[in-house]
Amino acid sequence: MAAIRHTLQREIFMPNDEKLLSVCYVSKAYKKKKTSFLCLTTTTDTPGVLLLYQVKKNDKNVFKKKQSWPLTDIQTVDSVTPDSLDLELHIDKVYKWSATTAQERRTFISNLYTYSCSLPQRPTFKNIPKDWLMDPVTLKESDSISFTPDLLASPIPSDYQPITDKEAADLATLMSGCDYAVSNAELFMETLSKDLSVLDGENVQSVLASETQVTQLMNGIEEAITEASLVEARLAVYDEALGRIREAMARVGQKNQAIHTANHNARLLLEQLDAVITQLDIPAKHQRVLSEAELPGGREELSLAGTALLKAMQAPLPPGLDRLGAVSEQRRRLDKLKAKFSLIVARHLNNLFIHLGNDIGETPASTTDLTLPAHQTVHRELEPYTELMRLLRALDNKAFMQLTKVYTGTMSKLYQRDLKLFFEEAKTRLIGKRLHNNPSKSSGQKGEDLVPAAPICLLGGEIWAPQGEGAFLDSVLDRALSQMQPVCLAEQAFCISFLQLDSVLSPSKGSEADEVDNMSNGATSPGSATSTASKKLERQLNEEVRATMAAIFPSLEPELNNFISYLDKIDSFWCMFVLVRLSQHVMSAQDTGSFLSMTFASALVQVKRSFDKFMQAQLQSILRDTKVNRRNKCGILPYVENFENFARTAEKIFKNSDRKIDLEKWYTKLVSAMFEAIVIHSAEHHKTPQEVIKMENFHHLYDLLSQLKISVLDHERKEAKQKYHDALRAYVIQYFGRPLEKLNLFFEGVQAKVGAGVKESEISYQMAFSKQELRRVVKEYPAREVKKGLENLYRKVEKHLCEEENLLQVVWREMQGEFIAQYIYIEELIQRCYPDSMVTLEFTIQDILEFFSEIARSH
Amino acid sequence: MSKKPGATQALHKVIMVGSGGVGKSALTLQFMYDEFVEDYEPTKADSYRKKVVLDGEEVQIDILDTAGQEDYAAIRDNYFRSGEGFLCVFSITEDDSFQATQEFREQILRVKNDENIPFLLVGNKSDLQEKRKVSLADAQARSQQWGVPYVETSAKTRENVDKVFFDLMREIRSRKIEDKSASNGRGKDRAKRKKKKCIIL
Repeated sequence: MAAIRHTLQREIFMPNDEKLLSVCYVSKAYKKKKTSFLCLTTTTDTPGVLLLYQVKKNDKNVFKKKQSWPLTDIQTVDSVTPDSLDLELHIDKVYKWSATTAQERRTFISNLYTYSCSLPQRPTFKNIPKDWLMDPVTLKESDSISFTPDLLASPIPSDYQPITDKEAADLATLMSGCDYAVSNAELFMETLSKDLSVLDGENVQSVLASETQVTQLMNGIEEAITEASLVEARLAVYDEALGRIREAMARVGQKNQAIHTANHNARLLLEQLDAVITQLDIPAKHQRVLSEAELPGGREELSLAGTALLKAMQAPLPPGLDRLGAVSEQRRRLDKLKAKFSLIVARHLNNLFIHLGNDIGETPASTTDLTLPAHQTVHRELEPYTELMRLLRALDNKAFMQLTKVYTGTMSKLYQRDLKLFFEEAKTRLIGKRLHNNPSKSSGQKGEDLVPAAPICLLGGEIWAPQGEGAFLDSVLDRALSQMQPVCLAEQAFCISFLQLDSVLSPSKGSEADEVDNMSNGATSPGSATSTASKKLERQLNEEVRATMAAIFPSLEPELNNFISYLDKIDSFWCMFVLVRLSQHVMSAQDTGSFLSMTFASALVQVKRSFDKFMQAQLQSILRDTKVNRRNKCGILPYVENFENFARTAEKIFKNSDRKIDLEKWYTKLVSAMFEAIVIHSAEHHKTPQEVIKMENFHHLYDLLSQLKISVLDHERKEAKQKYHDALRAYVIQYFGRPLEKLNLFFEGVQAKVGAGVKESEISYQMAFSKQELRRVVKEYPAREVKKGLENLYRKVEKHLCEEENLLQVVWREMQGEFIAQYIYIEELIQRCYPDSMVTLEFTIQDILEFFSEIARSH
Repeated sequence: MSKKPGATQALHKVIMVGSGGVGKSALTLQFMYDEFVEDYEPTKADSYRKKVVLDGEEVQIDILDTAGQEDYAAIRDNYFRSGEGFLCVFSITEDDSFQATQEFREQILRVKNDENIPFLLVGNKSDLQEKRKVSLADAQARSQQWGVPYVETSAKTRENVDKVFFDLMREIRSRKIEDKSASNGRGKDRAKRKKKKCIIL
């Protein structure tokens, strides 16, 4: 064991500056073969660290450290039972080992205990007999880390202290002083003790001799103390004196401060007063102007004075100052001045407005065109007063409002008159043309009421005679609308500047509101806040402007609507013209929010309604008004016929208009209504067969839609074509059988039998379809008879079809084809069903073709 | 299409003839509606009417577009009979269609019993020069032989489309004027027109 211990120390721990303290040869519990050494070590440097190693011997007989734990990490040391060889260590997990010998185990545990005592955190020792655990304190009072295993094994007293070099030297000189010392130690000792006693005596003596000196020293000290207390008393006196002076100085300082403050306050007060006075003061010159100015001469002085007054009145006074008697007095004075100012301005402008209310407006005398007079002169006249108006608004809002009312009142009268004349003139022009066109109708009569409305041309009507003043109506309307635009816009622009409509909120209010806005919105999103605020402001502004404009042009909307509704007298398609023209004006207007645009837009809504009503009437008339004619031929139904002109007119009116979509919506409705109506009406004619009416009308409609090329109706066009073909087919099928009726009946019967399952070769055994029967039927149709039948058919078809659609050739060609197909079919059936009967029809294809040629030649 | 003017307006009846697929309908639709229909659908017979201004005079033209393929030629008799002028169309890209014009010409002359019936020989599909099978010289030779004008058209590019219809209408018109003066002169004598075969009388 000692050898192993030695080897371990040398090979494993020495190179790492570690020292092996205790070792225990263990094997893993239950696995006897896996043996290793548990080694308790310490590092040689101080303070040493205690480590527990597991060392293994590998295959090549070389020791290797397998694991290591600081001793502090060991939580529990458990020997399980004192008598066994087991040893359990709870570190990061539980390690179970068995020692090889009980003695070794005991020594190892004891050592573990001993060394761990010095640790701050010692493992708990379980199931271990008390006498194994020796506290190292009892063992030895010294640093446990300096223990060596040897020391523990055999403790040796160690209070020996080697003598220092100096002592050695002293000793040497001492000994060299008595050369016998070495030889005679006893003598030497005696000498030494003798010396010692001598030295002792001397020492006592010198102590005794120093007593007086000590007394002296004590006295000196006493004196010094007395002196010191004297000095202290003096110092206390000085200190008191100094304290008094300091207080005096502080008082002086305070006084100085107070004087300084008083000065400052007085200066501030002066400044304040100065500011108040200069702000509130108005130069005498201005005062005089304010009370005595004459308008329009003193306009500029007055506006200067007004500005000064406004500035004085709006001067921002510090809070509280307005309670000063002088200030309120000055305020009163200012108020008086203000009243005078507003009186002067209001009186003058009032008179001016009323005077200008009689303005005739400038009309370019040279033109004979319909003109709405503009009132630039009024605007020019009033323009210079804009500044005064602004001042008045700021100073005396009530007077300003009053003036505004007067202005709008007079102007509204002016414009009312203008508009009335204007629209009357427009109407007269329109009617004049009409009267001129039909002098016989309403000669001598005048007045719009006497003029009947232009007839509404309905699609279902028999006669299509639209009142066609469309182009003229359009030009008058365009003229009227475009005349209104500049007048309205000029008035609007003037009002905005003159009545300050662009500053909806009074400036002070505005800034306040802004501040509030800014405060409430804070710094979160100032950009968006101001933008929404400005938008809101703009909307408000627009509303204000519109309200003013509405007050100035109260009659514009009714007059316009009246005029527009009057137009129905002029043209049957008036609503289309108006819709297109008015839309164009509304769309081209730049400021969609302006009064005129709004008025136009609302008129447009009305017109759109009229248009829809008009189209609805057309739609209804297709079914309701249409009367199928009583003539021999039905021909083209009126609405199909009328639709061409209707669509062409509408297309012309709506050309390039962005309103076309409205029209197109109606197109589809109208055409599908016509489709339905054609089917219904086709059954109503007393002579013409239903299919012919359908065929001709759908053919006509198809042709018409192809010509019109209205893209939204392309689907309807194809549908019409299909319906035309269907009707043609139905007509041909229904009538071609006539010339060979009995033959057809016979063979239909044959076909039915075959269909029911009778064999073709056995048909001839059926009673009704025997060879005799066949011969009888065939005999009824000799060539002569067939020819007559075909001629009759041709005549009949000719009678059914109308000239306009020119479908005779088409139908006849179809019938010829059908007839030949029928002939071939019957021949085939005879061949199949009566193969040996030797029966054939009594005419050949050649005959038929001959008949056709003859019919052709005879027409 | 008001009824009143319709009564006084001159009406010229034009028949389109020619083999199948030579472009009769295409020419007609191009003339009628300014459209070119690419997909081919054989016609049986269809009738069109259009108001046009012919040398300053408003007239109506009736166009009967006919089937190129017909099992029995005699079926055509009736509409040939109704026609006042003929556009005999072939495709310059197809020799058979050119040969077929001979047959059409003969039938028309037989049915109308009139050598001088207004008649135009039309070589269609002139836009497809690279596929040309019928030379200009051949077509012109035939037209000279018949004593009728020859025009090449393209229903696709609209080249000469109006020309053939208007030329034909002019011929029809002058022919009618001629007849009128003739009938004024000699009463209801149609024999003059039927120069050769006066069998009916």
